[in-house]
Amino acid sequence: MSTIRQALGVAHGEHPAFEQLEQVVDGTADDVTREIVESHCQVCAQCAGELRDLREFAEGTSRSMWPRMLAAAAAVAAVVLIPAWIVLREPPKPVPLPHPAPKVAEGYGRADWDAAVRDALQRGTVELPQQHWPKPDPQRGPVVVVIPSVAEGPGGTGGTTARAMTPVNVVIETTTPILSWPAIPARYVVSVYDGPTRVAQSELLKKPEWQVTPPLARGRTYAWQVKVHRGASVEQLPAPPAPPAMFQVLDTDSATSLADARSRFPNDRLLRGVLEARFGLQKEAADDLRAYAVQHPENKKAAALAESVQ
Amino acid sequence: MLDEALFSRATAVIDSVVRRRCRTWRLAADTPSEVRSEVLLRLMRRLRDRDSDPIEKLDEYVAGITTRVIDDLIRTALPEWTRLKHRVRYVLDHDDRFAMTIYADGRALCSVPAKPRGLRRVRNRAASELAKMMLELLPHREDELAIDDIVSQIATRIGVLDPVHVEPELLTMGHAADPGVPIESMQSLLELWREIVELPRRQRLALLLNARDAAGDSVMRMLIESHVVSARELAMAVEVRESDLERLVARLPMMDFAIADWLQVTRQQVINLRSAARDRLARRTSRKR
Repeated sequence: MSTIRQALGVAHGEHPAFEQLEQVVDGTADDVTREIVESHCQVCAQCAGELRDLREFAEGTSRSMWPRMLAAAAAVAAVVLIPAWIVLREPPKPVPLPHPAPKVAEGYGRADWDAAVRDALQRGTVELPQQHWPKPDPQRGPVVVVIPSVAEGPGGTGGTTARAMTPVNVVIETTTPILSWPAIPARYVVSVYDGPTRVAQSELLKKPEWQVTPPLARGRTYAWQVKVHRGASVEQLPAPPAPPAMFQVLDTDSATSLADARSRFPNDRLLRGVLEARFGLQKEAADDLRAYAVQHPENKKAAALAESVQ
Repeated sequence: MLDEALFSRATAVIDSVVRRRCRTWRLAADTPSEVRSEVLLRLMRRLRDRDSDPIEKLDEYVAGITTRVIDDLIRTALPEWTRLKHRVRYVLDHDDRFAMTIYADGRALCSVPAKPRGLRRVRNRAASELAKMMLELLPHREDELAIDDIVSQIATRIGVLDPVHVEPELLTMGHAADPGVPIESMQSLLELWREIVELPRRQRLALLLNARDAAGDSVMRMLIESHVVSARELAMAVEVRESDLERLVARLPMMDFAIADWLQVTRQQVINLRSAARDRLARRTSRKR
């Protein structure tokens, strides 16, 4: 049965090369390289130590080399100077210690995260990306039918509007968002369009909400509409002159980065908030940055950051 | 076995790299021959690997392996020196005042160009201190200095103390071609299987879907026939339904490009994932012995 082990080729391999460690530290490693280095470090204490040391060095959190030199100098001084001091009673000059490095937010193990957070903290603001919601092609986009007024639920003011439809003109993280609209006594059919192509449609619904299925593709911008069936009439939301209801699904790279950040730093509301803001997730960013500001009331930049994404 | 001409050529390259890299260290007498044996073993393994591409430039390939073998030797014997070298390399890669050249024969040199390559500078305190020291050691613009030498000079300056006597037994490298692998018990194979299941998903699939014995038979089939694991466990390990396992096994061993397609990675990444899996299994199972 030794052939099974041999056939699997089980054998000590090479340790990760410096370049691979560096890529992991810089956050530039592809996911396969990162997986290989990290799984190797789980079983190789030597490489784990080297990776940790390089990470600390790159992040600026490592011990400076000077303390070691100064410690050696201090030891020599102790041997040479203390007897002299005893005799001469002249205190030795204090050895100047290096100032601690200023605490700058960094050290997430990814250069892009480090840079984003550092930049946000330094400037006290984080910009949301400019969103240019594309107008649908009137020839090919979702058909918008002029309909009579639709009440906006109990106490509503009436009129056709997309204001109460969600999500509208936002970036969303999930690929299966829950779409909701004003409740009226009716049945509904929801359609989701990617350009001229309908990519999802609900059955006849009783409730004014629907979770999109199948999952939508990432990085795409979608338009959606609700057909409201009341008796023999069919109305549509949103109806002209209201603009079409649109949203964008967060692209794969950004979603992966965000999931990675949440997984690795679950309590770091600053990192999450900054990344969410940069990816256009305004509401999530506002929530997280507000929480960070509450956690750090002494930090005026934190409050400014939260304010900047409102 | 390597043919004589290949052996002579490889040995000449190995010896020249060892002489150059290790000239400042006091090596145990048999260290060079240990390094040579290890490099030749790895070369043989590579030449026998049916999945790997042919070696285009033998001398460069052998120089590369030799450099890595020496790195492995040094990192074990001189861990603090190695960490310092990583830091120096990091500064070289992140500060445009420095230039670094790695030649095909394994030489790694650095210099300070008269005109910086760009505006990047290391910023944190530890890296800035190190960069300053490196600049002091490289006062003559355009002169190239071996990175090992600059690391050793800095190590001396700052008092990085490692044992300087490099023992060959500190070589901790693979011996995949060791013919003396003992006959394994069912128990040890079960332990091996448990470790396989624990592998990260992509490493597990890259290993299992391709592994085969010398006759070309899939290891998956051998595992089923030897009753080491059940069909259900195997199916779960390769992420198929049990009812689909037989059909999958009939297609095995799978070529790397097919596994790459399955895992949505490149063929080279499949090879790297498999190597990582083998290494991890070796380390995990040898630890238990």
